[in-house]
Order: sequence, then C-alpha cells, then structure tokens
Amino acid sequence: MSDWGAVVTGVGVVAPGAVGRAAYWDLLTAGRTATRGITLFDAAGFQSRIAAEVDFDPAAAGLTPHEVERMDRSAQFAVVAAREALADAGLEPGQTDPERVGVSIGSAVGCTTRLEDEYVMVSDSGKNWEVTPEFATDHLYRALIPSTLAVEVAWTAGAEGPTTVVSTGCTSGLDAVGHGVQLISEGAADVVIAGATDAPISPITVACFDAIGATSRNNEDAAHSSRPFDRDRDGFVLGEGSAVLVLESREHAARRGAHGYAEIIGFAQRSNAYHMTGLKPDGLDMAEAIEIAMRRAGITPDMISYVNAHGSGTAQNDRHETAAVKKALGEAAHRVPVSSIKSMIGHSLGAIGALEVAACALAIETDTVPPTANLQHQDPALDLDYVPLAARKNVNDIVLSVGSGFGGFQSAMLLARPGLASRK
Amino acid sequence: MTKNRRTVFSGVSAIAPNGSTTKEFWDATLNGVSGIGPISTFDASGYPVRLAGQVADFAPRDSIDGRLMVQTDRWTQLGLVAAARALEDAEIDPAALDEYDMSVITATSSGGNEFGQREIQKLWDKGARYVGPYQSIAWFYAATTGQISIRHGMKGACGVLVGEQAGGLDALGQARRALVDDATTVVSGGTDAPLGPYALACHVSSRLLTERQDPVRAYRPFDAEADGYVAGEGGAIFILEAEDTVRARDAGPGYGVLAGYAATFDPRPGSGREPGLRRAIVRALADARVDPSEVDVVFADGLGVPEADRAEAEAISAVFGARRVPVTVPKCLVGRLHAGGAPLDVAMALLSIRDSVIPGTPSLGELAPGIDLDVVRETRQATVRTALVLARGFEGFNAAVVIRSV
Amino acid sequence: MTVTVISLDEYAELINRASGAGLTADQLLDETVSFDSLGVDSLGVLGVVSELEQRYGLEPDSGADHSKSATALLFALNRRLVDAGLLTAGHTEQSIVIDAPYDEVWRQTNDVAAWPELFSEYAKAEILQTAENSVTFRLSMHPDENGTVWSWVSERTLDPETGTVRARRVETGPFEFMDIVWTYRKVEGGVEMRWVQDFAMKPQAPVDTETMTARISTNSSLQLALIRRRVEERARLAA
Repeated sequence: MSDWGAVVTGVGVVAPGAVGRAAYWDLLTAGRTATRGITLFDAAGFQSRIAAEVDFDPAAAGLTPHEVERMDRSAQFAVVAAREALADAGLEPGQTDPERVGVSIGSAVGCTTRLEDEYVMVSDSGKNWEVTPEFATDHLYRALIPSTLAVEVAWTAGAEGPTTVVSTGCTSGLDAVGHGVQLISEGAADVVIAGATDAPISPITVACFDAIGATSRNNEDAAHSSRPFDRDRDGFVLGEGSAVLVLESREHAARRGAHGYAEIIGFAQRSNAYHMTGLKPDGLDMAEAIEIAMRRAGITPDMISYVNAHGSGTAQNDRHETAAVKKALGEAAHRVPVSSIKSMIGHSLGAIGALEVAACALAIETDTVPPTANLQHQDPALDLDYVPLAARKNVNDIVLSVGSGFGGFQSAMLLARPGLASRK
Repeated sequence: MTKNRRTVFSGVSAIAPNGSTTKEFWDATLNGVSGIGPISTFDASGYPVRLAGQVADFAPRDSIDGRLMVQTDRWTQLGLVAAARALEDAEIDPAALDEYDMSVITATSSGGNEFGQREIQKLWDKGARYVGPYQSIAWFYAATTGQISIRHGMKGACGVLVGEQAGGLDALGQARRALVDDATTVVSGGTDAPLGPYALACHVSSRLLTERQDPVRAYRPFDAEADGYVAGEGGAIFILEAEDTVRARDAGPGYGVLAGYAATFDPRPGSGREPGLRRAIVRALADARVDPSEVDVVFADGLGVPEADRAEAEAISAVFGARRVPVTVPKCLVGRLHAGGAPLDVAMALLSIRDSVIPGTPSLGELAPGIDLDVVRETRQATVRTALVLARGFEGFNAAVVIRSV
Repeated sequence: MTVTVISLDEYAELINRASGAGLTADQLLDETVSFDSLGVDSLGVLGVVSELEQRYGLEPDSGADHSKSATALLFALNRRLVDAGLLTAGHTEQSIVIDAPYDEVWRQTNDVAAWPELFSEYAKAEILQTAENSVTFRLSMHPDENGTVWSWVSERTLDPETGTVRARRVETGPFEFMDIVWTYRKVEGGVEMRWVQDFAMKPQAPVDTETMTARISTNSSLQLALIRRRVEERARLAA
C-alpha cells in the first residue's frame, strides 16, 4: 500500500434522527429511517414534501446565542460535529501547532437556508427585484459566501493551516475528506479537520428538485420513501446534516497514541463530461474513479469487504452505480455487500459523502455493515447484494465509498482497518 | 513530489471590468484606465453602495450556444468564455487529448447569484412550480467547473474551491496537485459575478464596501483615505500543464511557472496571535525555493480597509524589509472580483513577466500612516522574473503564489 | 372556459424561452423530430412542460411527461387541456396569418387535387365530383404507426363572396359526423385562415372524441404552419 493516507482519529456527526456519533451508528445499524413529512417549513404546494430532518436544538448542542445568530444552520451542524470529533480524538486546542492544523469542509449549497430567509425579508417576499439592503442582518454576507463554513470549523479547532471549502455538489463530502488526506500526505498539515455539511431543506432547494422530478413524491409513506435499489423507488429524499472527521498523519496519530477508527488509503475523482444531471447507464467514469483509487491504494478488488454506495434512490443512479461497481470490481462485485445509508438518512447533498465516510469508519470499527432500509423488492435489473433491511456482521478490513453528483462528478474513497497497511 | 515537474501556465484568458479580453484588459491596466463605474444593471439608488466594476461586454452569446446560456449564470458564462479562450491561447484542442488527462478546477466565492435570485423570486412571488429546472444546476458552486468539463469533454479529477478572494489561488494550488499524477492539462482559475441586486445587498452587510461615489477615488488600497473596497466581476482562467507536456507538444515555452503556493488561516479573532499572511508568504517562497531578494514585484491583496491594509503591509515588510520590494495593486482599477480577483492578479503577473513591465496603482494618493511599502504608482518598465501574488479571503483565508519566468 | 390551442410559432418561442434552443416553427414541422435532435436536453424538456403548464394554468403533472418528440409533447398537452375542460371535446378552432395575396391563398388552399403537396398528412386526394363551388373527393392519409390507411369522402362548398368554405364528411368512417368551416379574411400582415371543426366519434371508433380533439388540435398547429410556409413560398415564386 502507498504512503498516501491519513488516520481517522475522531468522528463527529449531526444526522437526521441522530445527533452524535453513537446515536448515528445505532440508527444505521438498527435500519431505522429518519425520513418524514417536512416540518422545517410549510411544504404545502410542493410536490415532494418529504425530508430527513435533524431534530436540532442549537442550545442543547452547546451553541451560544451569538453563534446561532451569526451561523446558518449548516454552519451550526458543522461546528457541533467538529466539536464532537475533536473531543473524540482527544485533541485539545493547542496540543498541536495550530499552523499544522488544516480544515477542509465540503458543502454543496452552503448557507442556502439563511440566504433564503433573509432574501424574503429584504425583497418583501419576492415582490422586489431591487431589494432593501437595510433590512438585512449584519451577518448576511457570511451566508452569501460558503467559505464561512470552513471559517467556523477553523475557529472551533483553532486551526491556522490550509483551510478551504470544497464544493463539488453531491461529491463535496468525499472530495473534502479526500482533499484533507491530500494536505496531510503532501506535508502541508499534520492534522486536518475534514468533513462536510449541508442544510438544504428550504423552499428554494425543495422547489428546484421538484422542478426536475428528482425527489420522491411518496408523501403518503414518508418513512419508507427513500428506497434505493428497490423497484418501487421514485427519487431521492432530501436530507441534511454534517459529519466531521479528525484526520491525522500516521506519524502524528502514532506519536500521541491516538485511537484510529480507520485509515483512508485511496481516493480518486473523475468526471463524466456528459451532462449536469444525466448519467450514462454504463457507469464507466465512476468505475474509472474506483479503479484509480484501488491502484493508488495498492489493493485489488477481492480485498474490499464492503461498498458504501451512492444509492440515492433514482433508477438512473442505481443502474449507473451497479454497472460501475461490477466493472471496477469484476467477479468480486458479486461477493461484496453493497448498501445505501441514504435509505435511512436521505440525501444531504454535499454533506452525505462525509456522513458516509463516517459510517465506513464505524463499519470498520465495529465489523458491521449497515443495511439498505426499505429494500423490499429489489429491482430485477440490479444483481448485487444490497444488504436489505438488516445490518450484518462482516469483517470489514477495507471498505469503498462512492459518490456521484450533479456536474458529472464521480468520486471513490477507500478506507482500511488501522495498521492493515503496515501488516501487509 | 510536486517539485520535480514544473507547472507551466500555457494559456491565459482574463475578463475584467476595464477590458473584456486579455489584451484589452492589459492595455487598459497599463494605461491606468479604470473599469469602475455606477451600477448599470439595476437601479441601485436605494443602496448605500452605487459603484461596481462591471464587465461591459464579453459577448457570451457569440460563443456560447443559446441552450447553454439559459442554463447558466453570468458567473459560469464568464468562466466558459474565459476557458475557451485560454485553450485557444494555449493552442490546445481538447478533442485531441485523452479525456481523463484533462481536469477543471475553479474557484468561486458565491456561485450563481443572479440566476438564483430570479428563481427564488419566482418561488416567493408566484409559487414553487414557477421555479425552472435549471435552478438545480445553475446556481450551485460547482456549476462552472461542471459546465466547462462537459463542454470540452474533460473527465479528469475536477474540483471547486471556495475561500472568498483567496480561493482563486487555492484553485491554482489544486491544479498543480492534479498535474502530479492525475492530469496532463488543467483548466483552472476563477470567476465571479456577484453584482445582482441581492448579492450586492449581501456584500453591503459586510460593511467592507466603500460608499464613495467618485469612481476614481473610491477603492484606494494602502491610501490614507481608504475606507473600503468596490465589488467587481470577472476573473481569469488559465491552462496549466506539466512542463514536459508543454515541451512535448512544441507549443512555445508558456507564460511562466507556478513555482510556489501556500495557504494559511488567521488565528481566531481575539487570540492576539499574528495573522497568517506572513506565514503564507514565507511558505510559498520556500515552496518555490525563492529568496525574498529574488522577488521583483508583489501583487498585493489590497483590501482597501485601513486595518487590513496595515496588516498586509506589516506582513510584506516582515518578509522583505520596509520598502524593499515593489508592491502593486492594479485591481484598484477593477474592484475586488472575489474568486476571480487573485487569478486576475496572476494573469497580470504572467503578463508582467512577458512584457517586462509592472502595472501601477493609480488610485494611490498618500500612503496611509504605518504603511511602509514601495507602492508602484505609475506603470513602469522593469524586468520581472519572479512575482508574488497575495490574496486574503473574508474572515481569515490567506494564500500566496510565486510565479516565475519559464 | 376555453383556451386557444398553441400555434407552432408560439410553441417554438416557448421552447426557445425554456431551453434556449433557438428554433423556428419550421423545425418542428417534422412530427418525428426528437427533442434530443433539436439539442434540447431532459431538463430543457421539463422546462418546456413547465412553461406550457404555466401558460394554461395546469396543475403540474406528477407523472411528468418525458415525450421524446416535440409533437408528442404537444399532443400530450392538448389531451390534458381537453381533460381539464379547457378545450371543448369535439370542437377545435385554430387560425394562421399567411403573408400572401388573398386570391393566392384562396386558390392554393382550395385546390383539393393538390392537397397532397400542400399538407403533409395526405397521401392522395381523388376528386369524385365537381360542380360550381363544390367538390366531392376522397382523401387518403399516409399509413399510421399501425399501418392503417385512414380514408374518407368529403364534400366542400365554397362561398367566395364571404370567404367561407364549409365541408362535411359524406362517408364518415369512425366519425359520427365531422363538419368543417374555413374562413378567410384580410388582416394586417396577410390573410387569416381560420379552421373550425365540429365532430364526434362513433362509440366503436378506435379513439374517443377527447383523444381525437387533442389529435386534431396538434395536427392543425402543424398543418397550418406548413401550409403557411408553402403558400408563401409559392406566392413568392409566382410574383
């Protein structure tokens, strides 16, 4: 295996149905779904009225009124997740040279919710094209520029190294974590606080997915509306949340005797250069990303124990992704469990990739594969083992997480049991 | 591992308020022609800020199909036009290259603002069903990279970085990484177009914009009368290639080399620790293996906010010594272009190397007290072999790149 | 309440607004032309559907229409308009302005023997009987997608004084009845030709009156635009 990589030493999660890492893993391994009718705003008049919402009380989560005032919901999620990750890693601010601590936060739509709320105020509910700037709050600029998500996490961690927001749509989470590992691997940082956040359950985002028919309209049965790989799926269910990881160089983690959940050992991105939303059924570009990630990690397909799928719940994705996994893994594809946690926590756009990497780290830690909930009737066109309904014990030495998003982006990341690399 | 293969800028395309092509922009800049003027695209009379750096005419319809126009924000159109021109400038035909060897990595600060405002207005004024299908792909931050990748058939590792004004340099840093073993050709840089009515209102809330109404005296980095900046639109897109790739295709030496890059973040407010810009400079110079004495010009960030100007001057002086290096802020002619601003500075650095000239900072009257810099006021002839470009992003981002002659 | 069936010009304009495709009505005359070949992607088609729904105040169709051809989409729209009661089943009314001299328009559009060269839908027109200002004829269409050749006998009576033509089917086929009135009048920009058709289908007909209303509405949009183009071209050549 190559030198490229980093150790995951802290995990923090704010997810639908679960604030906190432990609650998150409980939810996923129990196969419970957190999708429900939208409560964050009145969704009457929208076609998809379902979402996977976080029951989030900022004060209970430890945020001060001033923090709540200046931060969009997505930033609040990220800060709470980052604090949990830092505490989990046992990394006190000041323990590491701040200049050697970086931040890489993914987000697809940034601070949309705050931007929309304030838009309504300054435009008289959309009546005016020229708005009234004096009706805006002092913090509106912070909502316009999603870079503030990284700012808040950097301030939380006391980081003064390379800091950025990675915003590649629905692969933002994987790409931000991948970027964090890159910063460590090239020596630009010893520690990177990496993850992603999104809080897109606002009228404009729900409306824009309505307009393209991408989201499920199974409003009558919201709890079972996210149905990846099921013949009765009818689109994805919008989610929200954040996962933040503490990534450390192997040396840094070893030096301080940190507990590692997993090592990230490979990562690659490819684009389909085909269509902003469309996917070709051949899955070739995602397969290419997987193959390159494996090559960089120095592993072969038979070494992969579990595939955490993109599994968004659209027919287009399921075919594309299944083809990609089969192309990249060959025969091994039929022996490896493949599951989508979006069946339980929905699709939180840029955040989901980080939530999935967190799930992969926990899957390795606990040797458990989370299931694909709601998978009652597998689409007959799909022929892999999608782990229906119930979690499974499985020796998870190496897991693969894949993501696919608007813009044509395809990403693949490989995680391994800590120390596996040096044992081989 | 990034040091053995030099990263060459083989194509440049700038679109700026004082010139919508590279040549027009460069001529205007060398002649001190400003692109800052009263906001003309909407009625800004109710705004405390009335000036902006607007790109007058980059004729997107001449080169972008109507089908692509309707699904893109102006920020993406700027990126598409600039990317196509940069490819042309580098004499690259993407169709002739392996599609997996080409990457697109751009920066944006705020995405598709005007497109988004139109759609959100439809939603709130008329109803959810009036939101069009292209909202889902036009306003989000990845739109420009995605559209450039699709238009030119580029399937390599693509990226989008957001760090306000500093993000434009982070994109170039990422492009250099991609050239290590992901790609042979990278389209990179940044554009932004945040001058719609709502986006500008958002900017106003930062209280960093000047409310002056005289275009010539509005944005005055390092000046004693500096009281904020002017927002602008535009940016620059480059073609970056590994040096051996450029040589192999016999396309001329290129404009210059991305010799060093570093990014840092400021300490938490109130920590009392030193801001991160000096460290970014030191690291970028070290990365480039360049001694401060070798730097011929610094394209400063020049926020035009007194405290920030002083902090930047201190960082520059701490590395180079007081008044030991020429410093220039030609962006006073166009405003701050957010993620497009630093790439535009990089374009100027490359053209300075090519033409042996340093563009000036014509807005400067009296240096503000405590700023001990040799600010280049008028365009001057000078051999430029090494240029340093600095950028800072809102609330703490710092980035620096070192550009050297080939 | 009833609405006006969208003309091909308006349809092209609407497609352009939604998708930026830059089409002219002429490009939509080929019924088989797919959105794909017009360069309108799946999102563009959704935009077209949404614009059409907005124009007619239709509720969004949750079984979103992914019609591959522009004509099929227009038919689906007209069918929804009939179902919503916005178009009256068994009655259609459409018009077009042709930029040519009145006599030229009148002559060309009433030369039944030459209709196969004027319309795209007719394979054959046989004149069975003529009298002063009236003609009886058999029209045969091109085979449909099932290979069936629809054919019928009609009688047309012309009234040049008022610029009115009345037609009815003598041999009605699947129709209970089919009565047609064409009127011509000079307007700004040329001659307005208006088609009004009243009909009902027999219970045993392969399509019901509602479906036929949508079909005739769609087809009339296309045929009117085609006739305009051909009449104008010929008039220019004749001039």
